Amino acid sequence: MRERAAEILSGIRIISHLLRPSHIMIGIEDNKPQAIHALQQVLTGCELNIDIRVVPTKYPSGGERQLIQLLTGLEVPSGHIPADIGIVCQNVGTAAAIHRAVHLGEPLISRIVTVTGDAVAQPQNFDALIGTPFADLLAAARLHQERLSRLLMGGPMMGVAVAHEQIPVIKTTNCILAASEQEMPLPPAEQPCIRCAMCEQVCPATLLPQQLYWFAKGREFDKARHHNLFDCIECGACAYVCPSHIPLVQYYRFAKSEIRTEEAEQRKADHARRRFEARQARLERERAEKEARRKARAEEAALAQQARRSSDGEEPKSGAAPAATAAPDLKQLKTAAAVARTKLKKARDGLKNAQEKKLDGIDALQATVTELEQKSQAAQRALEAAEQAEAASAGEKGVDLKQLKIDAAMARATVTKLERALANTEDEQGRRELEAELVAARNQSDTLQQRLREHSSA
Amino acid sequence: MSLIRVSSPHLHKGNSVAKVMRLVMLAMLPGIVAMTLFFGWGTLIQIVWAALLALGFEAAILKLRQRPVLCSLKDGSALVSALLLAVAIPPFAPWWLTLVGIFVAIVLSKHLYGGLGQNPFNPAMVAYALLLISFPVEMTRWTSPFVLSEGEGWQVAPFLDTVKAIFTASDTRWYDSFTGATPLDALRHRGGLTTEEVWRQSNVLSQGIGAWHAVSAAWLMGGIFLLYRKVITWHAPAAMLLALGLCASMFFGFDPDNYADPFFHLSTGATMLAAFFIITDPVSSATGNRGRVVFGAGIGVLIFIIRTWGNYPDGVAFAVLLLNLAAPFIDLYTQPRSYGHRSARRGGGNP
Repeated sequence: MRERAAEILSGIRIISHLLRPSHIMIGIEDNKPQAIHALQQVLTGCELNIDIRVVPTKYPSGGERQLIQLLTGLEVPSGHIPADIGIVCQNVGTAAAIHRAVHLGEPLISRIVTVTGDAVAQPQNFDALIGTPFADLLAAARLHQERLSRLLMGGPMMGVAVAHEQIPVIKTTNCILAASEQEMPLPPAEQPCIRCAMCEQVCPATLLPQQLYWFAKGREFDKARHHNLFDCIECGACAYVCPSHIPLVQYYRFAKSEIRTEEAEQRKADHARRRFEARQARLERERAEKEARRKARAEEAALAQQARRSSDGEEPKSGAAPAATAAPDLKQLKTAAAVARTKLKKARDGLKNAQEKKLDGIDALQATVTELEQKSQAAQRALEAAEQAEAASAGEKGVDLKQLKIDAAMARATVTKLERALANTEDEQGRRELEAELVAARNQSDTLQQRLREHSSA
Repeated sequence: MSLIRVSSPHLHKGNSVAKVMRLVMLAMLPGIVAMTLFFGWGTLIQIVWAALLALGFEAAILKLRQRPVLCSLKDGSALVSALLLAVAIPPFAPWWLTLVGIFVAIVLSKHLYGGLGQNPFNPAMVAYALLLISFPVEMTRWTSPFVLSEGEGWQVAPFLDTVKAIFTASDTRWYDSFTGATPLDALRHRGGLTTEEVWRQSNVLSQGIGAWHAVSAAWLMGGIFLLYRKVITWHAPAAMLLALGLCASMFFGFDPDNYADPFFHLSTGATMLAAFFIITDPVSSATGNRGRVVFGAGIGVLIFIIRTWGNYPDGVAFAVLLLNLAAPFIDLYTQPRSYGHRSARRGGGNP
């Protein structure tokens, strides 16, 4: 900030041009008087409505949500982003990078990295290219290899301890901290929590860290969620003050990851269940449709037979015409007759059983048997009639076979198209619509195919 | 090269349970000094005896529970419990009374519940209540405060005689000459007299009350030190003192003949000790700030009720134990409003 105040201001101008904000505030901690001075100098005579707000140096006021609360008194609602309440929070580094990108046409290929810690002799800031290995920067800052015990990417409170020095600088590498054993000794053994609630006094998100700790430890994740676990920003203030040296943040991370895993598995299971149900529904529908078709055919066959019986003795041609349109499926009729016979047999067995044991409802069973007998006879008759009709209409062929073939081909094409579209769709809503369309198209295609087959076989 | 890989944060304030306990013990110093001045060597002897017992019991039970002995002994929590019990019981109490008390405090009410941090009740108060119920005679025979009487100078029971009185308990005559009622006792068992008459007749009220005020002031000093060092928060003590003061003012305002004035309530008995050292015990109290206000206020009201209408002259132990029971419940219903939430949550995990 001290060196690039002008670039920052230029970046702010660009952001301001894009967003047209009513207020612009720059928060600077009060332990950086030179940065405040530098910014004040470039801001004199600036046309923008920019306030420099000096804030107390108190961790973690640099966090986006905490800074917004500090500067504006507003709180970002849980689960929302600052833009939802009309605030955009940008780093000064971002502002400078925007200036370079827009005015100098320079892409984001470098960033300022602070290299510090007890293990380096000359702690300093570098303008490092992204991808530079840590080792190069550490060497430039004169690292004492033998003193290095912990290497952090980021600050001491939230930084990530890295495994070795060959890690490259990335866009979020603001700091490389090479700490010695004395600077960051290993944490002492965890002691029992004495519920002193010091963690609660320091929590910037006003959570109950101690309760979250108990819930995480006891795997009571529902309760942890209810106590707003996911509003934890993992700043580490609680673990910093804990007199029992409990690694509280680690417990929260564990609980969060467990909950996320559980949720992912739940989603997967839900998805599988939905797919299974859809499949069941489709099979059910197809069976019902088949059943309906079968019934319709059986009725038509019965009608045709009746017609033939009434016109018995007349020339066979008039009887053959309705038989052809009805297109009786011999196979299906045979099955129907067999099924009717089986049902009848079962009902008779039941009746016999009931009579032997003198159970209730014998009358009802008797009636069922009688009804089934009639049905079975009807089915048998229909079958015989159809066999006769078949023999009679052997010469007849469907006139619109060609048309039917074309229709079936077109339906198949539609199905393929829809399938392809479905595979390319990401959107949940669109997917569901497409699936419905696809099912309809498949049905139509199946029906046409069926009819085609019947006609060609007939 | 092997770099240490641990989870953030990588810094620690350097605070520890042992440090907290040391600060509490340091804050108890003024009170202990004041008690020794006004009630003789008995207090100090009890403290040393209780501390030794506490360390012994703690070590033994840790061994039995197969926990690291030295590491847990060093945290000082047993010592603090011992100190609190030692200053709560009469300075001339016989040695076995302390023994039983410490056994109950350390073994029964702390380690049988799972050790440090797991006890639902304040160990010192469990022990105190048990002793008060089981040995009412010994527990209510408090020492008369030593006062500067004219011509005789500062009278304090000689050290060796005190030791003898505590550990042999044979010379009851000598012992009796030093004991007397506490101000709360005097007011409690006053017969048909009004408060003003008691005030004039009773020795302890007319002459000895100054000693009790001084002791209370000493505890208050220690409490302010703890507040300053941020070992405790103001919520529970302030709520308790305010609730007790309000209750007392209300009844004193209506009927000054039958009720003691609020200053009397605040400055005698164990009020100040309780406010800053007993109800601020983190383990057994409510944990949230709002919860601690409720917790403290409940104790204040209960202390007044038990003192005024109960069977016992001082109700601190019972009030604390009752509110210890309620602490988890209080915590559930006094959660703070978290950042970014419209309202505070209530209850447990089943919304």
